[in-house]
Amino acid sequence: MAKKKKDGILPFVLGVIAILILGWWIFPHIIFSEQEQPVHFNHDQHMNLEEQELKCRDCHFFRNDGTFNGRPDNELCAGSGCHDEMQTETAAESKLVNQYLEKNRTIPWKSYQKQPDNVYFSHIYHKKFDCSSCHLDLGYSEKLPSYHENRITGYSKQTMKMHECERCHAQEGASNACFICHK
Amino acid sequence: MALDRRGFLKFAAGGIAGSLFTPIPWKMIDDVSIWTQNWSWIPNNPEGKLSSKPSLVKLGSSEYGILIQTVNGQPITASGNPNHGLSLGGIDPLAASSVQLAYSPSRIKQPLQKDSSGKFNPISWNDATKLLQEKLEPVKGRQDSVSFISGDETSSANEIMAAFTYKMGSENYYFPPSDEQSQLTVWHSLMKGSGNIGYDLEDSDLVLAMGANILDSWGTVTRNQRLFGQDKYRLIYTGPTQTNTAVGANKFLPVQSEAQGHLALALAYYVMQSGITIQNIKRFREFYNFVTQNYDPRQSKQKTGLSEDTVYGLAKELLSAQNPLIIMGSLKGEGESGFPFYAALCLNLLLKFGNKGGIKNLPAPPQVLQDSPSLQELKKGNLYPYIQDVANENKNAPEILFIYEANPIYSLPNPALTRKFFDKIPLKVSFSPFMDETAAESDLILPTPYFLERYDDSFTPFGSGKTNYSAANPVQAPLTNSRNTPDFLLDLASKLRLNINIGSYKSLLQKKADLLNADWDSLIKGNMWTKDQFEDSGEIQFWNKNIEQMLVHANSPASNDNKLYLVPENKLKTGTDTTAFTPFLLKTFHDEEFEDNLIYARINGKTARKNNLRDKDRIHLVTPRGRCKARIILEEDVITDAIVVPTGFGHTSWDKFSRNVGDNVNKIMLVKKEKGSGLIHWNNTKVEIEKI
Repeated sequence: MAKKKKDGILPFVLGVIAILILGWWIFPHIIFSEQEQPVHFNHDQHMNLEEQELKCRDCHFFRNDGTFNGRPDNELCAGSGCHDEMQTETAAESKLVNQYLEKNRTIPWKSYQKQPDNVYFSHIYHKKFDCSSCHLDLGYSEKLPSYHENRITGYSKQTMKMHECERCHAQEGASNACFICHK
Repeated sequence: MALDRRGFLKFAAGGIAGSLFTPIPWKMIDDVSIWTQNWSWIPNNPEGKLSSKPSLVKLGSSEYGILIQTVNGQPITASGNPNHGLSLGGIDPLAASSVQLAYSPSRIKQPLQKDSSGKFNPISWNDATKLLQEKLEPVKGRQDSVSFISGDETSSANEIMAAFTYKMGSENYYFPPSDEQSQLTVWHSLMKGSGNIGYDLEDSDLVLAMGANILDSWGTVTRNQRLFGQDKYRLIYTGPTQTNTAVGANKFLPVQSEAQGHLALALAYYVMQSGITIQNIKRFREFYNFVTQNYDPRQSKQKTGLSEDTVYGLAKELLSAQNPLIIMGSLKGEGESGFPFYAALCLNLLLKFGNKGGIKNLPAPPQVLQDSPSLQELKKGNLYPYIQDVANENKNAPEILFIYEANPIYSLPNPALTRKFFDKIPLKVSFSPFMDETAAESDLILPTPYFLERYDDSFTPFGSGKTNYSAANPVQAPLTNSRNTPDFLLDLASKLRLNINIGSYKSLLQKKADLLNADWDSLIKGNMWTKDQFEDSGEIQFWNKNIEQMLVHANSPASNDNKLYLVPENKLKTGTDTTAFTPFLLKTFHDEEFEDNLIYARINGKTARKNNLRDKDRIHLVTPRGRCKARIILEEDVITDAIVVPTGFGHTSWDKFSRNVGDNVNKIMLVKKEKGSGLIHWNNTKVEIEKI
């Protein structure tokens, strides 16, 4: 009986504390794997070129049919006298040109905001919002941030969840009917 | 503190209780549910470069240009081509599912040969070629050596396939029956016209569609729809049921299919009463006298079922239009007699011919292979009588029958006769890319690539207003071990020393483009070549002995019985004769259209009362030819004494999506021969109804 009194609820409390530490500090780190983008890309450098004034829309633009070109393809990177040949001696550009552009291999960029296939998202309907309302603000960043992929779902940590879409729709007075996003 | 069993359990309990206040269980539930969306066997959207490639629809409906959207070169979806004159940016439901169709389980993966037990086994292309060479060599030069059925009337593949047939010594080259063929028989054989009939929708301000379902399945459907959508013309529709065309039309007049020809002549009566005559038409006076004597207002009312005022009002609308156009056609797109086409041609000629709007006389395509028969010549062949003659041993059966993109076993009336015809032929060779009913009955299947996987072209499809030409490159690499039929036949011809003077099908297409002065590069970019090129219509006759015989027969009193007029209705959403409907199209059917796996037979309330039928009754439509199972649906948009039944069901081959769904109405059609024109027809079949 005396032994029982001595232990009391301490193991229970320790169990709670342990799981709280695991749940709030360790779990968020282990559920996501940290990955780097295939090519180091410096937005800031591209926005401050001496010989050519680049704008966001030069690479991230709406096509004529209203669809959005999220990332420039090889043709765009190599075209217009940009990376058809090496402009600098950096390792990043060397990788871009030698491993991807010259071999016409698509760069396997990791998308920070990829929605599932069952979601139909149209950028053109949301163009009144600033890009950084939903996306990481990388316009003048020197380094692309690490990509955190959920080990179970395979989606990025930054992927917008449905409740976030619904909240914004509700705030903006847009419909939250299923078929608005799920066709 | 030592950790004993009790302490461990307390620790674990604390951990479990505490976990509820952490993200772990909630995040895990959420993530696992999302993970289930991404199981490896669930298809996902490909990522990559989005682009579009032009192609040319070849699914048994009218040919026109479409755009295939691709991701990293892989087709993902199809849309209309705004730069193509017969698409104008529109696409029909069947073509919209063309990318999906490429992956149909019914695709034939490699050449197949049937063994004595009726099972198909793979055979190599080399062995298949050798087999055909061995069979063909001894019969070379014989009139009954081979026969060919081609289901594509606009492709230049016909030049090679017909050259092969003719150089083998045979003239047995046929296209399946169609409204176009029936009309051309009337135009050429009865009325002594020449060229092909064109329909100048672009310049017409009033279109009277008589039965022709121009906004759903007739002719250049997407062009018809787009021009109507742009208010290019006013549309009046006459027919036995409210088709999609009738629903869209500015005016709908219910008329039995059998009465369409009479209505055209009743309108001709008023047109001629207004003083319009044609001076340079041979024996016009006899036509005038016949119409005056047989289509006065009282007789017109009796023959058309429309009031005198309605017919007069319609005639007034036609006369007050600047450029009226009459389009006669059947709801099934085939099986019509010559009389309604004759009547509509006469009315068109009376109202307008050759200038802006109305009907036009379009030339035949130029020939690359000069020693191949012309397309005009080939179109004179009539398939059904040939099948009848061979089946009944009035003609010798060919040693080998080739079938290209046609499905006569399914589409022709009286399938028992077609099977009898097949049984007489030692070797049947199908070039179908799909396991359709005819391929399943063949002995050898040599799959041609699906239309997205091959070079092909189209010259002035039926329903066009001007001479036009389209061509297409393959959009994707063949998904099966297939060979383009014209190229295969060129190889075979070379082994048989038949001397067909062209290197490849692609070079024939390029030469055809050269003959037309069309830019090949522009064609394969999806642009249609077109030209205001019309042919002299020849010395047209409104009257001769055969026409008189046809008209007298059409005006003879109809038998008075209690049977119903069977109206087979073809919609592109239920496929075509050569292409079964797709899973993509299943979404467009209402539940009642499939209930209990029965096709729906639409009648109005009056017809139901006369025949003691009620909504949802299960019935058999019965003719001496057989029975077709259906379910009654009461709808007031059907004319009295008619029963409207959809076509495209009752497939016995194809894939699990279309096989054994409903019944095939083609099998109960009664075939008749029209006096005067000699045309074989089966529309206006009368049926009895038996409740099940």
